[in-house]
Amino acid sequence: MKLEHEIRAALRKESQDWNVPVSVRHELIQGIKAKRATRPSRIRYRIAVLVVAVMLILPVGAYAGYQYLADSIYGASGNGIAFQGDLTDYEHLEDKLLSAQAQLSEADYARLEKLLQQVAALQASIDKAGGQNAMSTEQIQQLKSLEQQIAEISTDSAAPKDSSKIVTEEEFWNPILIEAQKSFPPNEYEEVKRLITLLRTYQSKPDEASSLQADQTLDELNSHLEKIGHKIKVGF
Amino acid sequence: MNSTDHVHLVKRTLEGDAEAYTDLYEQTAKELYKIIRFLLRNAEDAKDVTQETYLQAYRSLHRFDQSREFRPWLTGIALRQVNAHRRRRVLQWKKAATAACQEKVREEDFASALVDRISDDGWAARIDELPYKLRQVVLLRYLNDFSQEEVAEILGIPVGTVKSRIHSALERLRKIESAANQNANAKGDLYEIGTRNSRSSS
Repeated sequence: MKLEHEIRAALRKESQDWNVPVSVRHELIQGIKAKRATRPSRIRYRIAVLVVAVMLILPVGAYAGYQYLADSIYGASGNGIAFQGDLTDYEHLEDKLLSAQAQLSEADYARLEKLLQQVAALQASIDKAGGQNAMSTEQIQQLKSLEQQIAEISTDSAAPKDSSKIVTEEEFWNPILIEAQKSFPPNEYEEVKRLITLLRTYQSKPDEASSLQADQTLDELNSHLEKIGHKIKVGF
Repeated sequence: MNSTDHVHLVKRTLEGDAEAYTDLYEQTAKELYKIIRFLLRNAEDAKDVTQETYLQAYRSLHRFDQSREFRPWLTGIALRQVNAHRRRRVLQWKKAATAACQEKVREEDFASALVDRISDDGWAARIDELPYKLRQVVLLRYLNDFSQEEVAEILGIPVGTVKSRIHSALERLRKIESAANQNANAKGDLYEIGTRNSRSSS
């Protein structure tokens, strides 16, 4: 009980001066007002479908280094164009963009990024006008054209392309497995292998439960890898 | 402010009273922000995730079961947002130590480095060393004072698992504490020797 008491007291002491920045309240109120003022529209739905379609049709297959790709389209948090979804949706888009970047040539990815920026800009202009139901013919044509161009890139990307810059999942994990096999007794090596397989499975799923499972599995994996001088770090 | 008041504010919000939601925010945000900040260890990220949590909660409020407590429901959303935020990370291969060292030596070095690093810090730093799943239960239980049943509800895991995680976390913290104390004693001994030597040489 003494330990629990000490922990409780220490946590309270450390956080006693932590106050929520006032901007959170202000931005929350603005966000709620915007939500209440904006009624669902067919156009918004169509744009959402387009973005989701991009997320679904872009193939997954390669492992790429971390970049805030979605930020380049929607703007970093707190500025730029609002993303119509929650953080999880944003993450899903980010994952898909990473995969797209790995699969596409530089030129094709740049083209895709530009097209998505145009989708986001279109979405912003419709939001700003507040008249989602009265979309101009020009805007409808623009949307159709964007859909078509994105579909073309996605079809092209179905064919795997060589990329010397991207480290595939296999290239990432194989050296670790080789070193683990050399360093660990067979039973521990098998456990490391099992954890890596499990981690890859969780990572391939976009849902939050899998994310948590991935974190837990990573902790377990690192408890082994640290013994041989390695650590897989998940950093901000 | 009790749970009945929270539910009343939820009802008013659902009826279109935006100020009621602001009241809910005022009554819950400070506590929620703290656990988010402890989990992310970054004030700027904690700010963003807190804001996103309240927006997400507002969007999902119609799904809240008003026969239940509001705080655990809200905290569950916050932890999911934290997890989503953590997914913005990427696995980075990192060499933590020289691969040529012997396994045993490396283990000792690692433990020693850990103790050196945290011996002068408080419990918060020690809790940071826990695996994420243990850190979550420790913070929910001892920072936010949720019952074990509520922690189970928030994390969507059985109460038995919560108990075993708390037990495991406390065990680890005891070990870290004990190692830190031994380290401090060893430093004290060295200081005494150093002092004696300087006296004898003078």
